Amino acid sequence: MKTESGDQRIARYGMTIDVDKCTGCGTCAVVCHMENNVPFTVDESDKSRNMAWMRIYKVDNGLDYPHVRVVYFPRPCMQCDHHTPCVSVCPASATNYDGLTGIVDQINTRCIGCRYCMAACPYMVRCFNWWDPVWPKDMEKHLNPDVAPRMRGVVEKCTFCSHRYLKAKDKAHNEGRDYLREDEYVPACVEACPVGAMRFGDLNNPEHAVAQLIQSPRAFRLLENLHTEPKVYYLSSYEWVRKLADNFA
Amino acid sequence: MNVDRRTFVKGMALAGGGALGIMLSPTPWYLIRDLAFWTQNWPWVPAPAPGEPSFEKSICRICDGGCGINVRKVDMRLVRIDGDKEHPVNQGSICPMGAAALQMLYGPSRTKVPLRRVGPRENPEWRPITWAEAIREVALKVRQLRAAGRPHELACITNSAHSTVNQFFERFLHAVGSRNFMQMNSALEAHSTVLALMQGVDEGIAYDIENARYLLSFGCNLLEGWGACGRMYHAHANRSAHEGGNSLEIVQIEPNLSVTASKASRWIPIKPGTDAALALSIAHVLISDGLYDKTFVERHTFGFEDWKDSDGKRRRGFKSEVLGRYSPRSVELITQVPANVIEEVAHEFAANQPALALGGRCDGSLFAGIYELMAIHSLNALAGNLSRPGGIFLQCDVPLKSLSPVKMDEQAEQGFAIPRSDGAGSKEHPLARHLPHNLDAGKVGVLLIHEVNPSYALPNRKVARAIFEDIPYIVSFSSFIDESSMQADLILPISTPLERWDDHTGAPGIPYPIYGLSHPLVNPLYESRNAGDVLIEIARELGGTIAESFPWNNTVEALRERAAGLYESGTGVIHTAEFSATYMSQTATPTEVKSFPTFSDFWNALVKNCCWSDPQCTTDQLEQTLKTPGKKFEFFSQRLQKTFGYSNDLECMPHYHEPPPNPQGFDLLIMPENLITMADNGLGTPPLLIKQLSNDVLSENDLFVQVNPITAMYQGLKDGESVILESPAGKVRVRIHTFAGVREGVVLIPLGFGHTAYDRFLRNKGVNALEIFDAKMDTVSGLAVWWAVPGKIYKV
Repeated sequence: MKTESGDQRIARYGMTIDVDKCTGCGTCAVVCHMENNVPFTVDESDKSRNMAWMRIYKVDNGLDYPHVRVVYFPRPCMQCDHHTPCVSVCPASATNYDGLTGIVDQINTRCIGCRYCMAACPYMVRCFNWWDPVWPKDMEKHLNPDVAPRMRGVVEKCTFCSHRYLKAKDKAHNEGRDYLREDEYVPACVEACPVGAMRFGDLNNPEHAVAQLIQSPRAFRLLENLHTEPKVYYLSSYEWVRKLADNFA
Repeated sequence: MNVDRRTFVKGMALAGGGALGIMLSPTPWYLIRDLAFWTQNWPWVPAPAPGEPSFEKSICRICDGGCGINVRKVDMRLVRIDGDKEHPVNQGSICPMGAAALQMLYGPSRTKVPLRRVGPRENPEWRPITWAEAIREVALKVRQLRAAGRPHELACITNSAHSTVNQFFERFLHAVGSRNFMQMNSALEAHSTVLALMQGVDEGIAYDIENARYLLSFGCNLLEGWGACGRMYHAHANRSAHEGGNSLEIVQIEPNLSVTASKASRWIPIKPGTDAALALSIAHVLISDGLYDKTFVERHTFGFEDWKDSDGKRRRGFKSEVLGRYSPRSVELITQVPANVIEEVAHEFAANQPALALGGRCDGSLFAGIYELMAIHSLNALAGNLSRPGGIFLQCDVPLKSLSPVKMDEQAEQGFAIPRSDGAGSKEHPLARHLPHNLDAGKVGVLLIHEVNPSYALPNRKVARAIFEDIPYIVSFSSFIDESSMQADLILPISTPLERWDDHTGAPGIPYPIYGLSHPLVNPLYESRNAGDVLIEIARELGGTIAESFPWNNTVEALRERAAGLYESGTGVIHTAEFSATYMSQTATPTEVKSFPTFSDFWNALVKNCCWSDPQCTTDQLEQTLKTPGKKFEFFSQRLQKTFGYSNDLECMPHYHEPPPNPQGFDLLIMPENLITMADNGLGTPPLLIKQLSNDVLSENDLFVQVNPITAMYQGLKDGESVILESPAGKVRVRIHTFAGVREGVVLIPLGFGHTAYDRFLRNKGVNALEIFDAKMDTVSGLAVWWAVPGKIYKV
């Protein structure tokens, strides 16, 4: 999209998550799963099989009582910007990198279920539908019509709520605008975070808060040494937290 | 037919040739492929119906916090809940439970039609009946009680909300002739007792957290569901602890590393149960270093200095008591908090005014005794933080019109003269209002249970069992098939908060009056009804003065009548919001009540925006917050002495007393853990929240308790091992998870598991921790005390 001044510029949507603020409450994950019609089963404790677009990892600094401290890492899709591993291995073009927004999207109907992408993803973001999702009868009523539930045999993952981007873009177009305001397109998780730990915006637009936040010395990304250039940045003032990202190996 | 060898061979050749022919043709491969296609196209994956999108406001009623919510609708389906950015309580922040509330609304554990039990309570079968039958049946049972001259044997246990429907229940009991209206104890109930004793007021406590700079939290799980959860999240969001300088510091005093402790500016590990000693030691430093508010203490407190009573006898004051017994050095031995840390915290507390000292562990309801909360509250008085910005206030009354007085006939008068069956207000528990955990089940003939689950959630398990064993007739007004409904005689399906008219007065800990009104966003999904409407019908069926006490046709009429009081008061504002079609933007302007030309304009705006508030109205005058006979804050509670006739001065003042030693063989301490993702008050937990549980909290159906690795080593246990956790009250089978954030010798067991009712997503997962907590009763307040229990742990 173009910027407000009108020169053609490509957006790179990204997110910052302040792990010092995050309380690990799980609201982001709950609203994500509500928004994206992510199914649930009776036993959700097998984390290698259950479906989740947003997972929250609790990690500690490994010290003994009373020096131990805990932080929570909410983990959406990292939306890798460079050599996006899942996109490069997908034989069916079912996952794609959108050059105009930087969003790594998933096209369910193209997916052939080979799960190469799951093997390629260094962040274990992707989930495979081993079964058709089943909601108890009346629970189908709370499904969001903006997102199609996925069928058995396909892989799914966080899309930065790209359906919200499309809606916001349509609206802007109808209003004769060729740009989006900062608050017009925000994923469900960021919108819902009750402690304001998550921010979202265009990393290319210096006026957006995220573009400023990622310049902070507190900012880091997970597994930076893989050079996949994730667009999800974490923020922390603590050295031990930044070290957890495994960027010093 | 005769089959000879030749025919047989011919037949076989034909069949074999045919089969071979088919195998060589592409037919089988096509069939297999088509079968695969067919199974892929099973219409099992639902296609959510598109429709007209819209937003409506409502009030979240998952807990009593009263957070405002925006509900996204697609035609008549509710598809998402967000926090209401304009609501004064939560300002857009919402907890995961509130965000998942639609899963409760549409969930499989809803009660759908009135059900009557046939067969015994242990093994019930349920027969659907009509509403008319159900109402006649309840009326008949009440009529029988009255005919037998025992109207006082009607009892009701309901939730702790201040709502019109709860007033209806109380009213119904009065009109029948019973005092036995019981609300489950709310989290901040014990604090009301403290205020009654030290400040002589009856209102609930309120904290001006938004303007405070320093929170000294004695084990309050501020970020795991304390007070109004959305409000605390919003306060945490605005702490700006890193970017823009410290605006709010939280110091967490707690034995274990809770979420609040890990997010606090500072965590002070303490020996469990010694909070009172630490609070008094901080008071010691404040006094000895002259850091307290001398003007306030001099002018507005009683019992600080030594004093002389009316007989001229010299009595010891708070100051000498604290200076004499609670020096940091001696308290270090009690609390295992280093003396220099105590001094530091006291100095920080004095330097960062306004500062608040908060008590009440977990969600606020757990405490070791009323003296502990008094000790913590005395720090607020030493800082002079009463009725000051960033300090302690009282919850304000909402100027609702009160309902017309109850009409009682002779029988009702007679029944009403008989004291309560839970002992609240009696000689033993003069300060208590509701003590459902002390209910004498033998004295109840008919019990109405409304939107609570005492079978699961009453901390006193003996009483919880007795209620369902001894009470002959139990009616459950419930939206869900919970444990209490499963053992009732009649289940009346109640509409969930998003399907009904309802209101909610005040929010826990908020210093100004707030009134939440919610209206149905969808028609009831099943045959459920509003509990208020059901009561009106039962009253009509009973006739006489009972029917006259309910002159309304339905609950809305009563709500409208009461709201007239708000309009007539002419105070406060409604945040009138206009939604735009996008996800985010929503603009609201506060509209003053005065500016509505007619009541019906006001009513329409209130229905649409769900919230009236009056931020200007706080108890900011000391005469409002100090109502003891001498209009002073009492370090020495004269009311306590008068009520109980204590001869020992210490028993009227905040103090620490050592707990009795653990029984032989129980050398560990089991403490409950509050998880934000699990409802621990007997309500159900939606599936999307159970999804959030880590597999070191719940694995398949096994619940994990947390212990320090050193504790595990001493007990010879490995991480993940199955163990028996035993207390004097009972034992449960769990697995252990080692975590260095748990204090040595402590076993942390999460609350909210072990349901035997509800749906398959929640049922039979883990154990109900309450089974091993043997609740004691606090001698002063009568409230249940179960912050910990001695225990032992051993291999299965």
